[in-house]
Amino acid sequence: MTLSKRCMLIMELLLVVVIVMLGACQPTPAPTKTVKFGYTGPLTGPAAMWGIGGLRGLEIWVDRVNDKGGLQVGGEGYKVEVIALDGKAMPSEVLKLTRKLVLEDEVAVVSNFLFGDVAAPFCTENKMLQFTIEGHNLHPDWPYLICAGNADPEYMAPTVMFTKEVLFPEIESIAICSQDTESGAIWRTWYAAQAKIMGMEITYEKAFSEDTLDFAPIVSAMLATNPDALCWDGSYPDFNALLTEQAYIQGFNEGPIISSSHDKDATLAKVPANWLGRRFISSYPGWDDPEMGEVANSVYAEYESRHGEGAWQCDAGIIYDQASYWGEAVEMADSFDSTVVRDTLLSSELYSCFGNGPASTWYGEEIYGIANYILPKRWPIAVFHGEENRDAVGAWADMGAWWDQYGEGLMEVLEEQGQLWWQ
Amino acid sequence: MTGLPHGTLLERYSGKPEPFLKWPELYVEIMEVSAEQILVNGLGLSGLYIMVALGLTLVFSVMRILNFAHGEFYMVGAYAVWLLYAQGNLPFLAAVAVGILIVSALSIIVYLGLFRPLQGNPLGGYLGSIGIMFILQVLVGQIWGVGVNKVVPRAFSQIIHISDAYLGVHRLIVILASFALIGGVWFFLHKTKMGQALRACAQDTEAASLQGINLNKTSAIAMGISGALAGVAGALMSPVIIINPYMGGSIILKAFVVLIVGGMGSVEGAVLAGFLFGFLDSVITCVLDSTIANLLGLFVMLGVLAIRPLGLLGRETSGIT
Repeated sequence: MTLSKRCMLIMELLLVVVIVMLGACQPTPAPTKTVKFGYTGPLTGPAAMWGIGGLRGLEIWVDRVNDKGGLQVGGEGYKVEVIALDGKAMPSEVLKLTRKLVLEDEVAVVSNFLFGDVAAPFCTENKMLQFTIEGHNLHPDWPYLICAGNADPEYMAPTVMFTKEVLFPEIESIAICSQDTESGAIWRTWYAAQAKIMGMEITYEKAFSEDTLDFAPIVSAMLATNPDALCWDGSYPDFNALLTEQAYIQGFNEGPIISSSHDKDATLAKVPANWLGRRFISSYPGWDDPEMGEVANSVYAEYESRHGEGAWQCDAGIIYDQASYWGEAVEMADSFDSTVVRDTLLSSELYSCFGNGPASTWYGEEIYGIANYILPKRWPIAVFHGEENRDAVGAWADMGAWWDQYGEGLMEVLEEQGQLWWQ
Repeated sequence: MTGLPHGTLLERYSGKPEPFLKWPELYVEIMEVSAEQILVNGLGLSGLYIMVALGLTLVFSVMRILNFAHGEFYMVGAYAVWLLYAQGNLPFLAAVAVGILIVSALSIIVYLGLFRPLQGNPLGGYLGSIGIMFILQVLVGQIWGVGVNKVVPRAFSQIIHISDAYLGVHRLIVILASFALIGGVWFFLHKTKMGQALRACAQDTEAASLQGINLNKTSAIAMGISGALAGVAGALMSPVIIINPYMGGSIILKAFVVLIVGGMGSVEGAVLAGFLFGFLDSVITCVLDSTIANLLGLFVMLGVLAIRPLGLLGRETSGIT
C-alpha cells in the first residue's frame, strides 16, 4: 500500500470515528407523544401544605423524566403531562375529580393524595391504576389501588417506639389529638396502640373539629392529664403549628412532642427553635440530610431552588417516590396499560428514592387483606435539631423487625377498634 | 414477596380501649384543668367573639342589614397585618392600626357603593353583602394565592404565668383590647352626639331625619366603626389563627349566633352572648371536644330563643340598646 493510500485509509477511518462520535453526542430527541398523570391533592385548606408539596415533588419528577426524553414505551418517548386538581381534603371532591381525570382527561394513572379509598371502586371498575399515600385505604376489593411512596400509618408506631426506647425512656404517659376525620381516627389508633404496647398510659385521646378557632382549650385539657409526652398525630400542618404554640405557652417544657410531620417555618414563627430542639419527633426528615441519599438530596436541592430556601415539604418526596415507581414500572412493562403496569410493579424489586436502603417489600396482606403496599424496608425517624433548624434523621426503623416484635399486638388493637379490613 | 414475617411478641397488649365518656369522671376532668386556665382561655375566645359580633350588631341596628361580608372584613384585617408586619416589617401594633384604617375605609366604600343605593331593600342588602363576601375572597385569593396559608409570627413572645394559668402576652392584649372596645363603643353610643344620633337612627329613621340627623352620614359612620371592629379582631388575632381567604366563614357563623342570642341590635346583648359562647366553647372543648362544642352552641341558641325569642337582651322596640 502506497503512502497516499495509507493516509487516505487513515483519514477515512478517522472520519468514520468522528461521525460515530457526533452521532452519540446528539441530544435526545424531544418526545412527540404525551401521557397524562392525574393528581388530586388538597391544594387549598388546612392540608394545602401537604397537597401542594406533593404536586411540586411530582413536577420535579416529571421535568426530570421529560428532560431525558420522556418515558420510553414501544420505542418512543412519551412526554409526561400532569393534570392536578384540588381535592380540598374532601372525599366527595376527590371522587368527582378522579372521575373527571379518568373519563374526560384520559389519564394513564391517578394519584390520590388523600381519600384514595373513596375513588377506589370507580378506578377498579375502570381498571385504572391508582396510587395512595395511605395504607389504610387498601382493600382486597380494589386491586388497582396501590400505596406507595409513604409508610402511613405504619411509620407512626416506630416513631413512638424510638421516642420511648431511645430518646425519652422515662416517659410513661402520652396525650394524643388530631382533627376529626376518618384518617385522624386511624392515626390516633396507631400511635395509641404502640404506646400502650410499650406500657405507656394514654391520658388523653380525642379529636378536634376542623373548624376549631382556638387550640388553647384543647392543649389545656391535654396538659391537665399530666402526660409525659404530647402527640399531634397526623394533624394538618396549620393545626400542628398552633397546637405546638399552645404547648409552648402553657408550659410543656420537658417531654417530647410527636407528630407525623410539621410545617417547620410556621412552627418556628410561633415558638423558639431551642425550645423545640431535640424534643420534636416526626416521621419525615428533610431530604437534604446526607443519610437520605444522593437522589433525595438532589430532589431537595431542586425543590429549594424552585421554591425558595426553607420551602421543602416532605410530601414532595412522597409523591416523587410514588411517581418514580410508576415510571420505572411503565418502562419495564413497556406499556401504559394499568393492568400490565400494576402486575409489573407487583412482580418487581423496587427501591425507594431515599435512604439507600434494601429493596422495598410488598406488604399488607394481614392488615389490609391485600399486599398492595410498597413498604420501604427502612423508614427514617426525624428529630428536630434546633441549633441547625432542621429535621434530621435520628434513626432508621427496620420495618420488618418492628413488625416481628409488635405486629401481632397491633393487629389485636386494630381488631378491637374495628379497623381491620374485614370489619 | 409476600409480606413481612412476624414473630413472638416481647410484650402482649391486653388492655381495652377507654370508653368515650364516663359520667362519673366528667366532674373530675373539669377540675383537672385549673379554673384559672379555663378563665383565661374563655376570656380570650370571648374577646374575639365580642369584637366581631359588636360590629355586626351596630350595622344591623342602624341599617337593618345582616352584613354577610363582615367575616371578610375580619379576614382583610388579618391579611393587612400579614402584609405590613410579617412581610413588610412594620411594627406589629402599627400594622394593626393601619389594618383597622384599611378595613374601616373598605367598609365605608362598601356602604357607599352597595348598601346606600339599596337602602330600604333589606333583601337586596343581604344578597349584595353575599356578593361582596365572594368578591373579597376571590380577590384576596387571586392576589396572594389560596394554597399555603399565611403565617404571622408571634409579636409578643412573653408568657405570663399567674397561679395555675398560662397566658401569652399576645392573648392578654386581645382580651384587654376587647374590654377597651366594649367600653369605647358604649361610651361612643351613650356619651357622644354622633353615638346618640346612631341610636336615634336605629330607633326611628323618620323621626331622626326630622330631627335633622343625616341618615347617610350616620349609616356610613356605623359601617366604618363596624368594619374597624372586625378589622381589629382579625388584625390582633392574626398571629394565633389560620390565615386564608376563607377564614371569615367560621367566625361569621359564630358572630351571627352571638348576635341572635344576645338580641338583634343590642350591644349589651352581644357582649353578654359573646362571653356566654366564649366560655361555653372553651369549657366544652376542654371537657369533651370542639365538635361537640360547636353543636352545643347551636342547641344553646335554640334553647334561648325558645324561652326568649328576641334574645337575651333584645326588645320589641327597634333601636340600639
